[in-house]
Amino acid sequence: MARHKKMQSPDEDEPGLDISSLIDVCFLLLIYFIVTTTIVKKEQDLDMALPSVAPSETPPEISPFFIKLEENGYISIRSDGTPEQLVESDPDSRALPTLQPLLETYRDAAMASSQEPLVQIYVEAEARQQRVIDVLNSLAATGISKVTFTDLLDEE
Amino acid sequence: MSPMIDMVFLLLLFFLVVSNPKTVKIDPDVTPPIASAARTPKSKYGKIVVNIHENGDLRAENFNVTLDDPDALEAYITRSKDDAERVGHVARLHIRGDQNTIFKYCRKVIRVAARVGVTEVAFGGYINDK
Repeated sequence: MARHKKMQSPDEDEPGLDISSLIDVCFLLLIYFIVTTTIVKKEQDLDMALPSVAPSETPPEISPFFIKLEENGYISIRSDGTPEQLVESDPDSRALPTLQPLLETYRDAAMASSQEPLVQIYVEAEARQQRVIDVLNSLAATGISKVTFTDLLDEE
Repeated sequence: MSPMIDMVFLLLLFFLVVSNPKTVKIDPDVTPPIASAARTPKSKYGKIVVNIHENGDLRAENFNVTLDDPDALEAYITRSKDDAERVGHVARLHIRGDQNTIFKYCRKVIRVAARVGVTEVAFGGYINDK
């Protein structure tokens, strides 16, 4: 017997590390996290730069594009002294198919004269947040980020 | 095998120590609007989060803190702005308004933020309703 032990290769004398329990724990943790994880919808940002709340002493070089949002969701515009015109009247539609091309035309005109497009928005106090975001979404899609809320100085 | 396991644990510890995750806490009572043109924010830092509930209640990022009092709202925004600027970040108002709330509450927040010098505003939204 003693003679047989002497014949063992050196590898068999090395201590082994049993990692099966470690793997068990890893799988248990994995299963725990898979079961308890809830996938949260990812929120994104609509960035806007508000130039100022106070009226500026130096008027902008380009005449701003004026958007009015009424509490019933109707959207009207006014640009370059033209009379106010209703452009969107479906408050449940997220897309603004009439406003969007008008904004693009205004942006192109501003860029052609090397100026930054400026949009003024008047929102009635009772207008829904989703509708305001619809307008801001159109602005962001057009690449306009300089926005003024003209009613910020109004008393509540 | 054991040196490899040691290395894995060392790497794990290293990343645990050096990572600095910054996420916006989600107020479950707010359902943000749909904004298909919304984009991933350029920076996660400097955000001054204000949650606006459907009924007009205003909450801080820690949504147990109410901001319905205008003085509390102004103090919160001022403090958050100072904290952001102290470490070199640009303070940015992050409005998480419920899609069914009305704009006057949002305007109230923007007005206070502008008064204390925060003019960068971001509106939180989902890019689709799925």
